[in-house]
Amino acid sequence: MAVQNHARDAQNLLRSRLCNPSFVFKALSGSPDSNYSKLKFILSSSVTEACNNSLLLLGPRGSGKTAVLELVLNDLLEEYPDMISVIRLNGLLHNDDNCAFKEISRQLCVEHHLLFSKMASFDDNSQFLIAMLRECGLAHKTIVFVLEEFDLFAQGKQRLLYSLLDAMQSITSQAAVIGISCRLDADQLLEKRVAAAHLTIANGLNSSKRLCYSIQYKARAVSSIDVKSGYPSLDNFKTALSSFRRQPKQECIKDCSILELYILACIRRLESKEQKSYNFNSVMKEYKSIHDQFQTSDDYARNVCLRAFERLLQRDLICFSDNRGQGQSVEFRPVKCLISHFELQEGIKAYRSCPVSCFLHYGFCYSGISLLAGVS
Amino acid sequence: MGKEESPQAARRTTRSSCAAASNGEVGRSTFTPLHNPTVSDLAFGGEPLSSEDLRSGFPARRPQILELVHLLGPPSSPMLPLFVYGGASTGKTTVILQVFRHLNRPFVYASCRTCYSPRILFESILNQLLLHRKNEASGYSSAKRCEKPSDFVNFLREDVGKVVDSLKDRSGKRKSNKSRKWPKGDILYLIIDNLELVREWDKSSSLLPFLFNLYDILKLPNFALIFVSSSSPDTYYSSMGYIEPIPVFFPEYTEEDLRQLLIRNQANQKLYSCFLDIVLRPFSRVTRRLDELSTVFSSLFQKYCEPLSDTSSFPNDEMKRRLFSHFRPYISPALNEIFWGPSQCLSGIESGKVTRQRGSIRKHEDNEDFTEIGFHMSTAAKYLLISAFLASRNPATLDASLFDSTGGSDNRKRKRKASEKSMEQKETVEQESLMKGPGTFPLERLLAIFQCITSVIDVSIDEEEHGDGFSTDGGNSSWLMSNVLSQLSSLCDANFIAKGGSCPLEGSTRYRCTISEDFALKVARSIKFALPNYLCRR
Repeated sequence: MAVQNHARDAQNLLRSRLCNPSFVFKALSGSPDSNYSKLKFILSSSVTEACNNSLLLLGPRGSGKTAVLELVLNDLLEEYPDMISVIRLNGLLHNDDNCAFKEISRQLCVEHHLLFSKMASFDDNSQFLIAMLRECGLAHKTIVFVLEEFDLFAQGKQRLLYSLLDAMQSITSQAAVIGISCRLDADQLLEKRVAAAHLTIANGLNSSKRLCYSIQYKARAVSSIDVKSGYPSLDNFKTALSSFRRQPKQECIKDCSILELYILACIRRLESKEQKSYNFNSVMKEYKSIHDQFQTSDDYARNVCLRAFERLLQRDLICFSDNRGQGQSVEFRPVKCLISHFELQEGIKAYRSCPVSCFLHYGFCYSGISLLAGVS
Repeated sequence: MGKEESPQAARRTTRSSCAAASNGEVGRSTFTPLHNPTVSDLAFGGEPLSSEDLRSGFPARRPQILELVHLLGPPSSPMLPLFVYGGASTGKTTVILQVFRHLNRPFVYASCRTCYSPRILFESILNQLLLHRKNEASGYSSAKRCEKPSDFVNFLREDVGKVVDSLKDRSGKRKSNKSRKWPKGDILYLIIDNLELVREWDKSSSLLPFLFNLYDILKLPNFALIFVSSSSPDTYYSSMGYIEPIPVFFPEYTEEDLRQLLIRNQANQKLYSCFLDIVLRPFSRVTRRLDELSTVFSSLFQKYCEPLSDTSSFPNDEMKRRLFSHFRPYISPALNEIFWGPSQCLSGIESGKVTRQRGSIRKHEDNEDFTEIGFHMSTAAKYLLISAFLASRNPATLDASLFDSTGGSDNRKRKRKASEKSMEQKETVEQESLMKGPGTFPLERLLAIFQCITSVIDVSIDEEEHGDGFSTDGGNSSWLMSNVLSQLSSLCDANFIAKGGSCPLEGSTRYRCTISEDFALKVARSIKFALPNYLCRR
């Protein structure tokens, strides 16, 4: 019993560590060459030497950019209490300039215990921002702006970026702007006037590239630990691995009914006949021709086939190739197949007792037709 | 699905006790709310469910239930986002809700089918978090107005913090009576259902990345996210990336599973399993969805049991053969009408029986064995519909020859042997017609054809049809026009005529007739109009 409790506690600990991004990257912060130390140096210089800095962190998703930044900021907040205030913006949420300025004002008000008015206009908010920057500069407080999903801020007119960087240059202020982005060419997205207010680029976050996926994998394995034994077993890791090696299209095909597979086979045959575009009517024609030729037992009426066709659309195995049609009904809109011939073949082979495989090749005459008649 | 409906009903009763006595309507006094919502309402409520009940309730879903329970983990342990996906009616929502009932964790559930816009989705989630119920006193408004994702994130941070505090608060006091009903753990789970519908929303290109990144944006330790969707995660294309959630797959039921599931809750299981022996295999070749199969089987089973006087008896071999021979004629028509309502299928078979000639069952070719259209249309509407069909079907250049003074009924061309080239041309034209669908026509062409047709109709119509106000002398043309135009708009509403694209030069809208040839023939037959003479045969 005690073993189980310990195992459970261990499992809990592992889970909480895996779900906490800052823990994962703490280990990497040791060496002096790491991104952590570079960031820390730049930011602390802007705090202590009262200079303005702007910085862009680039790297693929899951490589720990935000996590490392949070670690640096936490450490700096401990070292220099009351001298730093952090404003966090996200490109997904604050894409709109109005929204962004409102959010900046709101966070500034929360930091400095001021009353925030929701009705403030855009101009009010921007003037408030400039005033705050000036005041904080005079009081030797640094404001750090963290802009996540920076590339989304760089869409449109880039008004926010321009005003921020401009304000930093023109008045007595101590501020740092840190942009975080997954697009490695985010700096090329900037307009000239914004790029003129220079940005230094910290680009070296490739070391921990696909860490996120390995974390997920470990989380999966940890979750299936059998508490009785108290240790993760090889089976746990194997099941976790198999969940990452899914083949979604194959799963989809396995889930289809036989009539749906017939329709897919008809589409395949139409493609092999080099028909550039086809719709439900042409598929029905092909379907009927198969049944005339081979006398199978799966001859269904048109509306049943139409429903099966719609199911295939829902499963995303086929899709319409025109944009929203022009009021055409489902039977006439052209479709295209979203699954390759090879995948279809593999899927049908793996499907048990499916008579469709012999129809996949146009012109191929299957001699054992009598087998099919007896299947149903 | 009867068996799976009762747990849903149980979920509803937890909160409906609040709605039953409305919280103080204006003008009515002495109404106190029966039940003040507390944080314990965030759990499933109702009777607790043991793990054996959970597993036996879903016989075909044991591996998935196990996977989910493992991933959710012990109470108060954090979790990365999950993505549960599988075909329709594979039990995803039900299984998840029952797992939460079994584990007794607090959760917030929002479905993108009932919350059909971002604002409604955000407000519904916030209402649940704030334990706010919409009532008449406040005009059915939400607790907070929230349209933008940024506001949603801010509110969520506050509200989740409050909820977690109150969860932690009460879990300290364990000796209270209500501890059995109190949700376990201090992690709040957010379940977003029917995620595939979000792809069709207007703002889906920004909303989907936002939802997938929500866990990273919030960075709340006591918050977990579960997505439920009927399409797999790789079909969610987005220009922005996101860390993929952990996928959990619900495969479709196999034939044995279907058999097990369909037999449950049946009064006479042995009789039903004999029935399933006959029908399950052929019907599962068409569809494997449980909801469709159960609808069809329920009506067929009644048909199957007809000759039995006592439906609770166990059939022996001889009885089985008798039942099978009685039932067999119904199988293949039912296969072709599998997606229609059960009453239509059976009534069609009944009428087929009535018109049986020489002992042969009538074949249901097109699943409409009525020779009439099933509803009433005025004569003007019928003529208009036929004109629209002709306008869509025939190319405009042939109008002059078809509708000339001879009425277009005689075949002017001499029959010539078709040459190779013309056969090929015919085939390509036919191919095009299959692909293109009905053509578009402007309003003027429709009215012209309409006038041509109606000018040669037979004068001897019954008085009943005269009562439709249909004037045959063509005298008062302006009156005829107004009637026709109003008929046209009602045909458009009935989707018999659709608006096609508009001509860029003229700017007038063009119409398209969407009825099938069979239907047009039926309509023509009902007014004794020789439609095939006017169809341009290719």
